Amino acid sequence: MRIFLRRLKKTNKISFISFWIIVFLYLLAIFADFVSPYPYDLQHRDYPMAPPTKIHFFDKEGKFHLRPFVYKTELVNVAFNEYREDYSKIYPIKLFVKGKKRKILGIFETDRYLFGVEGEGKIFLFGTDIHGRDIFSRILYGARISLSIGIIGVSISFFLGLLIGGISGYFGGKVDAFLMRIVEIFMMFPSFYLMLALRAAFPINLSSIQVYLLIVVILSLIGWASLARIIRGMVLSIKEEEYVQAARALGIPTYRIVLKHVIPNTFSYTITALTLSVPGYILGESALSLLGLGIQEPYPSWGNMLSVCIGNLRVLTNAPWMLIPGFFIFLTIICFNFLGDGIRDIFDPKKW
Amino acid sequence: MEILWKIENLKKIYEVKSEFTKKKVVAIDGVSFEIYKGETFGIIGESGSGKTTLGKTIIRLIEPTEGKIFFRNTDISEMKETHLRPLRKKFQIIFQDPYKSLNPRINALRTVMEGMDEKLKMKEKREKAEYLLSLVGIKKERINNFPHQFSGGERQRIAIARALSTDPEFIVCDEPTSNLDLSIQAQILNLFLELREKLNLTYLFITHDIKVMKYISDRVGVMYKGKIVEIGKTEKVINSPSHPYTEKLISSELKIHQIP
Amino acid sequence: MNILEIKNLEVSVKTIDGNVKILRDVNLSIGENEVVGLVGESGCGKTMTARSIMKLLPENTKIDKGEIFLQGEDIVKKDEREMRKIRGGKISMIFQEPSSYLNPVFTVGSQIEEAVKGIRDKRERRERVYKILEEVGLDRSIYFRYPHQLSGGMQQRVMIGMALVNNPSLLIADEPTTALDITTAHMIIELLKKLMNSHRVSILFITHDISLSVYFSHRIAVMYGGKIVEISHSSEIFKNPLHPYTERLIACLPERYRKGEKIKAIEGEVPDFKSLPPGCPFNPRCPYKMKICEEREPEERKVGKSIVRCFKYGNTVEN
Repeated sequence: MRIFLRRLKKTNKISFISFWIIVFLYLLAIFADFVSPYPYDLQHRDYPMAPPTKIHFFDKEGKFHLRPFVYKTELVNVAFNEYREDYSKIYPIKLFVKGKKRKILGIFETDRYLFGVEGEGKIFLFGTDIHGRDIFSRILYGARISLSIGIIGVSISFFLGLLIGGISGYFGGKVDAFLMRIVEIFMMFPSFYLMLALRAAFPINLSSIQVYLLIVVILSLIGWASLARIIRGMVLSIKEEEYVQAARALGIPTYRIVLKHVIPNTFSYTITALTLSVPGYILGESALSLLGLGIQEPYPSWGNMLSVCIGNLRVLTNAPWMLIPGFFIFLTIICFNFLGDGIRDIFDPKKW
Repeated sequence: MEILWKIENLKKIYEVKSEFTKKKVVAIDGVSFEIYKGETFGIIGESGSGKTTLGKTIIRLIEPTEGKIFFRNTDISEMKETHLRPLRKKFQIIFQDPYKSLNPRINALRTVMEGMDEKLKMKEKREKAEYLLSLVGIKKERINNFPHQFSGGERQRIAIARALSTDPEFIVCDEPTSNLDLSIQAQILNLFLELREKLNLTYLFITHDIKVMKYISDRVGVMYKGKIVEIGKTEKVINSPSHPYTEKLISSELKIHQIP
Repeated sequence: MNILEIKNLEVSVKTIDGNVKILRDVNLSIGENEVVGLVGESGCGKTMTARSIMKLLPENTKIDKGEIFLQGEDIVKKDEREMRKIRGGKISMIFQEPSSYLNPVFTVGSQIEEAVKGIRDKRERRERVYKILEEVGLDRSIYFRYPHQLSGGMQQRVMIGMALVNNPSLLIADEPTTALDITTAHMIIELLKKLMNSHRVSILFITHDISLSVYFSHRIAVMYGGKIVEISHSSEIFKNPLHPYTERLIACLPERYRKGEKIKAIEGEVPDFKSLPPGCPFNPRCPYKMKICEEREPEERKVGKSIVRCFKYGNTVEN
């Protein structure tokens, strides 16, 4: 891992940075219970569509406070969604504030969160949604869905693609012909309609966890086919490489030739393809959620958080902060793309 | 002289399938010859004559369509791969392009160790690989380098060391110097001769270069369109060719590469 | 007047580790109707020399210094628009792999026709192509063939036809026979010899094959480590090689030995440009190495009719 990072840093600066951004996002997702100031489903009834809370260093009299603070806000005009700050009292932002008990990762119990405001004051870093739920907290919880769906989905389709593509390419003949026809059936459908059709085959009222699993499976069923096809092509050509022939001439058993000479030489492509396909899964989940077929409220995913904004002009004009999950999707996708580029460079032995 | 290889009426026919047609391409068209122990038998021919296919078919890297291949009186032409595997250690191959014949992800030392006898201990394998690499002229401090860190000539040396790792008695050399520079070709040719003396090897030396052929091989077969059209002692074939094709080949060669 | 005159040409390439000089102080002239062989091993700079003359250098590579006179005009100063007229006009080039320079989706005739400059009339252009096809020894019917339907030798003939269709004054032939079989190579060389006289074209013949170069060229320039180390007449070079590299290179030819005799090979590897030794680039492999060879780069020096860069022939500059 350390060698990997050193090489990444050397060959491609941008992907090195992207790597750390991705790691950071995943850490946020894992420790959402600790980092987020509020639970994802806590509705602040007095604060629907509140804008991001302003963080101050200077109070009304111009006095400087080392510890940043917020003012309590109040909804003054429902029609125009106007909030006003109440300057009478300051609420300092504190680290490790006390709150309701939560379980981190379902293991450790804690009643302290990373940061927050005590008392009447509220802190909404990215504002709130229609129901007054803190968008920042929901993004962190939503990251769990959106980020893990990519990794798990990719693992499944990688496994299927490598297995089926590898078998098809190395053994050839009838096995190859049969498997490739199956692949073609999967590739024949436009992937978005296939996704909808597969989703439609299951009942609508599933629990969130069931939906989650279903989405992962659907997405990886769509993803593996093209990967298998490409791996088959690579195996076909690598099989004819002279170093594979040399290995055969040395009398090395077939399984070892496949494991040592054929498969590793597909990695430069497959690893890159995988990294580059993670965004596809994130987008796929978003698309399903956007249509209301994905993760169900109140549980957040980046996709279903965005879906509220669609077709709702009031949201777009009065509460643009509700589009922030879109920015996170964008950030993640672009980072994965850069990382994919970097990994391709790394897996080229000529750059070692 | 002891006969090491006896090839009888060897044929290799490829079927080229397309949607509507089945075409047959004859790569080797009924070839018979013998290779004696300790000699260097040359195969000369132009591109597309089937010389590389012949070299690979003899050691069963390509399956023959017809004919018999005797190695030390054992017919290996129809032997099953599992039975053939232990025999494979006795005959090795060196390819033309050292940039393609080494796995880019495996370093020099492990490349050479890979095919060694399973019974050997790790330490013995390592020592043997180090010895072989030093034999072909790769310095000890560089044995952990990957193929791309070596020049073409050095890679060919590593490929030679790999071929030697199974203690073979016979090596197919498939144009091993034609991708190398002249000064490097000279080094590698010297190495081939040196190893033949030291390890008592027999070579099947495939080339399109008559000058190299004349320098290295004892007997030569001239290949043309899948057939061996002429076979004999190298000097005799070069000085008094009997087949018109050989004659044309040699006269072209002598015209543009006069020996001063 | 010389067709081509290269003076003090220096070319460098930008790499991550800084600028690396790949051609250093190259001086070469080609007379009218003359064939000059440029001989050397891979990575010695012969192809870079050719590409500098065409001004088709790869990215990050540029001419730092020097002049290239084509019939008295310095082409280093020319811009890309002017160069486009010169390429395929006054200078043209043929390559080792004709197949990769012919577009597979067009007939060869239309590709040659496209190269014709200065003729507007469609029928005249067509006639010009037929004429050149005949000159390179191909039938008119080849006009309508696609590249993959032709053998390597025929493809090379097409390339030669395409290169000569505008009657250039200089033809750069970059290893034109290396990928071909010996019988075909022989025919291509004979064809070039014939066309050289009928078209009055000078040829820069780039090859790694020194004995082929002796057969075809009038003079031979030997390159090593980005420098021309020797220029001699081809009748002289085998008899009396001046530079130690030339001498040792010729000694590497297997045809000069009896069967099984040990070849006097040059030790070591062909150096790459990033790790050239100080002083004479050949000094680590040179059997005549002196102290000065590591300290200074030898200047060009006239010995008889030849030019050589070696301290063996004295270390003072002489005209």
